Amino acid sequence: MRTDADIAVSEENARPSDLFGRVLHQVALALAIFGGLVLLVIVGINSLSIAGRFLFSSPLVGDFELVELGCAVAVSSFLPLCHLRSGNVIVDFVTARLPSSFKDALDALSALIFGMIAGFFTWRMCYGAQDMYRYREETMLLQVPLWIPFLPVVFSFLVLSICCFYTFFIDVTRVARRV
Amino acid sequence: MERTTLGIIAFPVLFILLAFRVPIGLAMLVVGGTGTAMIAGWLPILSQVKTSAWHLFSNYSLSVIPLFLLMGNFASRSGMSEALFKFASACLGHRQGGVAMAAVGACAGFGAICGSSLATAATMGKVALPELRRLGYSGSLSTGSLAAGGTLGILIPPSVILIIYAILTEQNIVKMFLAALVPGIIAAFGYILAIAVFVRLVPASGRATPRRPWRERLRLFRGIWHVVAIFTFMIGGIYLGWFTPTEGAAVGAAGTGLVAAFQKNFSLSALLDVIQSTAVTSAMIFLVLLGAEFFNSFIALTRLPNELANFVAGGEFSPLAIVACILVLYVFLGCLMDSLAMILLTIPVFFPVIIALDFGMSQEEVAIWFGILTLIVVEVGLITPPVGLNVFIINKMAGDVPVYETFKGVLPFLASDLIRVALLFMFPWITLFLLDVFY
Repeated sequence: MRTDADIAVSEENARPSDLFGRVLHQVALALAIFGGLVLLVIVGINSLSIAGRFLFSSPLVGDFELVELGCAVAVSSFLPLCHLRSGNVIVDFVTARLPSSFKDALDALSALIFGMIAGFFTWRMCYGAQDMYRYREETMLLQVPLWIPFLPVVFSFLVLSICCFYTFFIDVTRVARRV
Repeated sequence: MERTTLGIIAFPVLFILLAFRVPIGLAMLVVGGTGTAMIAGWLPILSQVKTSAWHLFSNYSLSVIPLFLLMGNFASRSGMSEALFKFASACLGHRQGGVAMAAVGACAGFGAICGSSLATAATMGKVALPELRRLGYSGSLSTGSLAAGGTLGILIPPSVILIIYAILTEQNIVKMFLAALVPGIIAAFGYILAIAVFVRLVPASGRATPRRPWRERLRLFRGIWHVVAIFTFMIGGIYLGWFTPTEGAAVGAAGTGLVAAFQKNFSLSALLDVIQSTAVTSAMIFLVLLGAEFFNSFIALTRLPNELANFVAGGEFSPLAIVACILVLYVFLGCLMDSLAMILLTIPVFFPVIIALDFGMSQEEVAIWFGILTLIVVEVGLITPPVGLNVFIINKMAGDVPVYETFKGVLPFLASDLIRVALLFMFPWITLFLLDVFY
């Protein structure tokens, strides 16, 4: 069992040797840092809103909405990095003693499934964004059109799906080299 | 195929996928989605997927999770762990095994600004482990007390698992945090007591250090005042309803972030590290949540929870015996599974059963009491073989201590855990009386 994402982060993953992999890692990292900055902005908005409420008894209007939108954008932008760093929880207990090429083969399989699921989500979410645009869905107070923050979420899922297919490819070549 | 049968089959299928190293969130998503499609056809899935991730990720109650994680990661780099440990050892070091007690106390203090067990164990281990070994504390006592002390990160609010339990069972998060406070403090004292007993039995494992004067203790307290201030303002504000848990988490993150920013060695790359660990852990949790959403809506569709609740309510079982059975099952499952996944997987099935039973308490009280018991029992899995994560983290950090020594060192704390669970199980008012005071 591995949940030590906190710890795994500090250990740099094996640096990819191919150009595509390096670029993909940089994209995932940039996306995650962007999400982190959004999270910091959320912290700022909340602090301002609380300070405003206590000191001037005037809260920020629609701070709830901004927190919700920001959080959705931030969390989804974290997904690709988490996959590339193998941060997702897996049960390592059953297969711990098996040879590593066997584990690589299983990891390849789950990366393939993950890539297809993420791709499926991306495809459907494009329609979701279209619906939001067409029906002019917006937030209650600030009337932010929902499709604007939704687009970066769709983009994150697209990058996630590419990352999954990439690790699938890497795992498969690693297995093939050993067999 | 009948719906209930489908629901029953889903669990072994899920476990097989998990055994084949499929990430837990992904496995739940695949099984849940396929199951729903088998009952209701593919069309609902096609439209559900359009916005399900959006609705989940933009859920206001869940936004508290990345913020608490951010706070914990800032806290790990704020020098607070050193300050807490120094202060605690100045106060407790003159006792037998006192520095190990101080490590547990510091874990409790750090747990108050960090919602994760692993992060608490890792951060405090970095600070306290070298000191314990330098003072000649035995390998099993020093690693055992830190591995166990780490679980205080979850037991003392804020706690990520508790937030998720509250959302799953539609309980008030503030009330859950309030109810967790006293059991968390009891846990810290129980662990200190466990060390006292341990050094009585094996006196050579932890010697006393010279007593420090009060002046020095006072001076060291000045190093931890910001921890006290942040925790009091954040949790106090949440308890008193000044702000929502999300806002509280944001205040906490701002506070620990400021303290971290004023550290000498804080740099841009440290900030990027904080962002990256927050990113990976948040994504991990939200993927599991997304999977759970699909899995649980499928399980609800199979009507399995209702059938089970009816079956249990129809039989002449004693309600307490049922809770006891579930808790024992959790201890066993916890030995193999991640606590978050376990809660997401089992609560939707067990909770309707529990809530339908008559304990002589209101439904809300039962929900809160059962939640706290579940939280403790699930966390026990972090320090039991074969996959006790806290044990492995601390053991790896120590380097020179065999794993079985660490598991041996954890035993007194496990005993303390079991006694505490039994106490809270038999006397629900320990968990619930603070609620009466505040509400």
